[in-house]
Amino acid sequence: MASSATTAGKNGSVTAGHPGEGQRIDADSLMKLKSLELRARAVVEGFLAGLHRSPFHGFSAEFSEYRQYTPGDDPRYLDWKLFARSDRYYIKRFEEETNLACWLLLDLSRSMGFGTLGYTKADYARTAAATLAYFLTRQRDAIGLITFDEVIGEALPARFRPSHLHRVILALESAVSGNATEIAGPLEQIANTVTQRGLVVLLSDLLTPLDGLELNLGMLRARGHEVIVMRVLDPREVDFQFDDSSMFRDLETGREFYIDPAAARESYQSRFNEHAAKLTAICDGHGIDLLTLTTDSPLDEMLFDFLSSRARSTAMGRPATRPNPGGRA
Amino acid sequence: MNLLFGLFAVSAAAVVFPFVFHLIRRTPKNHQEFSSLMFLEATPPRLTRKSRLDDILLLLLRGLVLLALALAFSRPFFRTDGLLDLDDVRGRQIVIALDTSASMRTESVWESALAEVDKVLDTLEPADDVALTTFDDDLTSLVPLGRTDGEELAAKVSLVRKQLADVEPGWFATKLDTALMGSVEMFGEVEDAVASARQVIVVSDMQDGATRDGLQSYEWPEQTFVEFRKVGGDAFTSATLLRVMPEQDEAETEATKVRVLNAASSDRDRFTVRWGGATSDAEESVDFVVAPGSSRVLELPKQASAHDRLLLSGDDIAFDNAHFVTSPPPVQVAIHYIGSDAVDDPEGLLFYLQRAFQPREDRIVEITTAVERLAGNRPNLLVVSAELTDAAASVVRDQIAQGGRAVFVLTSDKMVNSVAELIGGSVVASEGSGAEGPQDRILGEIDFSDRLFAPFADPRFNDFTDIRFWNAANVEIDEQESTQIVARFDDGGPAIWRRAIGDGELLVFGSGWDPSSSQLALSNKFVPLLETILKDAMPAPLRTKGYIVGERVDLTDTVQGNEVSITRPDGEVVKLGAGNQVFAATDLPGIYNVSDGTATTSFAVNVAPDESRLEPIGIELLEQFGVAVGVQSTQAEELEAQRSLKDRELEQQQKIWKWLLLVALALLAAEMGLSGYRVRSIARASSSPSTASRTTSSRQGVPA
Repeated sequence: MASSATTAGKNGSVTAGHPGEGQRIDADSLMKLKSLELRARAVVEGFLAGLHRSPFHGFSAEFSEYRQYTPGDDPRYLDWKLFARSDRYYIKRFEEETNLACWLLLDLSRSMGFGTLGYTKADYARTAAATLAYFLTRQRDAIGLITFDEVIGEALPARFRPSHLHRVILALESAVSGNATEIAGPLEQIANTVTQRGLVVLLSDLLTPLDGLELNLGMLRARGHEVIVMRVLDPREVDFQFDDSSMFRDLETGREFYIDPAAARESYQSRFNEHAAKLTAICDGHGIDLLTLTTDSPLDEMLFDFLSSRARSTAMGRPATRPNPGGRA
Repeated sequence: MNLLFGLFAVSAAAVVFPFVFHLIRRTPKNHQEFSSLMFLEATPPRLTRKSRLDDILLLLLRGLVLLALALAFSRPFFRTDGLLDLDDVRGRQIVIALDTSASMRTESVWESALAEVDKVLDTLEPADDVALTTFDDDLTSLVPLGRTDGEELAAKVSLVRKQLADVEPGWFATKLDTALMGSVEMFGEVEDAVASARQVIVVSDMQDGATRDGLQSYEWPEQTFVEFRKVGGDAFTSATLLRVMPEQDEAETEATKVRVLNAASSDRDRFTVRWGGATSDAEESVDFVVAPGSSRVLELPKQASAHDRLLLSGDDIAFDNAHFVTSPPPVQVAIHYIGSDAVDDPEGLLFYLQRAFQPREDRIVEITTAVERLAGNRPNLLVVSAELTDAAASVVRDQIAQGGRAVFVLTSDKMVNSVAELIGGSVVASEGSGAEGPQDRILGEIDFSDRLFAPFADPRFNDFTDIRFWNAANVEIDEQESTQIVARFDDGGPAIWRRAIGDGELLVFGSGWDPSSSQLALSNKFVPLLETILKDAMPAPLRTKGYIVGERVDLTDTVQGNEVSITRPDGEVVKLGAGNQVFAATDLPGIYNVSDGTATTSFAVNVAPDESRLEPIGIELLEQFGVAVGVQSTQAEELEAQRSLKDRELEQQQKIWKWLLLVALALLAAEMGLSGYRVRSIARASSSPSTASRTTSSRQGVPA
């Protein structure tokens, strides 16, 4: 993982170094903050404070080209000064004209209720979603939120308004955990309903069979969405470091059986890695960035990775694809 | 070692529980929630060698505690001497009392009874003794108790079976009390009766008509049990026919009355009665309805000469459906009256005497007064109310001495002399007789135990105070042993007294019954009193209403001549010799014809009416009379009981269970100590992180 990177905002004008270790807020301390908004602000402000100072041109500041006016063009963008000089109508064009619409898809299925660090994966994912929302709002991007388990729960359209962030955070706070994860259905629904092209960030543990996931992700991509999959995992789900033999109960199905962790660890990891590899292959195949977050990793890392991913995709003129082995990002 | 309650020893199997719990304990109690088990497979529980070694002592202790407890509850003991065997145990003495009364003739009942006896015989044990008796109105011992030395039970049983083959139900009534008492007496007839268990098995239809009153005064012996094996059903349609004897004033009616009783358990109520004969039955019949549990009186046409029985049809029970009827000729009774009054003189005695003896169906009384008829003709009763001439006195004395009966009514003092002469002194008219004029007297002292007044002994009838006497003779009697004063006047003078003379008897009335002497003739006591006197004097007639089976029929007064032959209903002729004119062989219902060579008469014998009461008798009623109802244990059961008793005694003496409980407590204490030590060592081990995993596995190994 790169210790520093040049990351581009929507205008590709932000240059930032990776925040120093001392400035990081570790996930455990962060999760002790009760307010989701405070958590998001803490991560984002801390993150920004750690960035290298760099010129930030902001919205519509970057000139791209002139184009001759044709009837039907918005007269607001006429360059009157040029008209005065040349007596011809030119339309001033900028690098990006529209704000980014970012859709946060938050999985709140039961399996997300698992956590061994005093907080659950759902808590972590909420915080991550709130952080992204806060960050993107700061960047004047529109954000939308869809929570789901096997059906869609909360659904807020992508908007940019200061009050909308509060609505999003409120919705994140009040969202309740659902039942089983049925990721394919919600994804399909989103692909069908969200017509505005934008960035789709999927926050889920993806501990489901992957049949159907590929099709739906492909459908999203086909609609022109940029897709980032943030896979939220508990460290124990990765390393399966349990000591005691116990009756393990599946949070989603309620199924229960006896497992000796020492005996089962190797087989678990093998299957887990196989699943992760398959997931990576799916994402790679569709040019989707897969970021795996363990709940003990600081959220600013997540933000950093997010921005890196965005930068790559912007730089390449298409959504970045980034191989990810399924382990920590 | 032996166990008193071996079944508790099964609980020793609980020793496997600690081991099972140990295995179960391997499945941890703690639960771990996990996001998804899609990458996991269940780990099969395994018992590691290490954990077994860790807890083997604890398991052993717990197993031993359970074993000790199981053993303690099983009450172990050590048998000090050998087991009892069959020879040490008493056998049974079984008296089978088989009912052979008429009611056992009911369809299929007899077969059931024989099968029941067979069952008893089949279940006998070699040490048992068996006797067979049959009973109806008496007990008949067919095979007595007691076995000769070396006699096998099989021989006895075959003897019983052989006797049983000849037994058939008779026509007699059931006397259950006689049967039970007689059966019990049989135990006393064998010497070794004490050692054996006494059992009476009554095989009977247990009908309600069986007598049981005799048991009331009987002290039932201890340890003698009766088992009642009832045969036959409880529900059947049974109707009973009884002839209703006409009242005296109905003697001339044409119809014959019968009463039909329908049993409460009957399910039918329509019956038919008709006259029947030996050869043919009457065409005419009477159909009628009698509700179950009630009775009805019917009128049938008068008996035709060819008919001798009433036949009932419509019920299930056949044996009591024929009721035999005879009409014996009335008995001629002769009374000779010696007195001065005329028959139509209402102030005299004869007037009332004649009216007192009205003709009846079974008796015709002829009263003569002519003296000449007295000679050579002995009347049944002599009534004398006048002083006798010497000649007459001599005749009277002779007749009384030869067994005649005479009633003297003392109408005058002279008659007292006549009586005195007749009996040879000891009676004199007392002083002042007649001088004080008429005295108003009543009967002051009456001997109700005397046969003359016995019918009046009931308090309802014993009031004679409203009968007054005015002209009673004052008599003084030298009270010899042979003079019996039956009643005295209230002043102590004898009112009625009797004196035996030769074979006959003299009854003396101190006062006449004519209205001028007393109110006796006008009293309602008069006719019964004279009837009593006449009954005493007249020959006993054959009963019109017939006899019941088994009853003895006295023919003494019926027949004359020495040789009497009786033809039974089955045609058999029985001859009674001189001096024996009581016929006892009435064991069949039907008409018995009696012939003494000169005249022929007949009497009817019927089944006892009680025999038709077929409702089952309540066993609890018999128990109230003290009958010990129960079944003696068989030899094998007794052996088992005695062994068990002996074992219990041994166990009580040894009390090993107490020691076992102590051992269990000690083991429990050791187990607690050891497990406490284990827990503490686990606690110590868990405080050390390096040994955490080892401690965990150790703890899992400790069963709950």
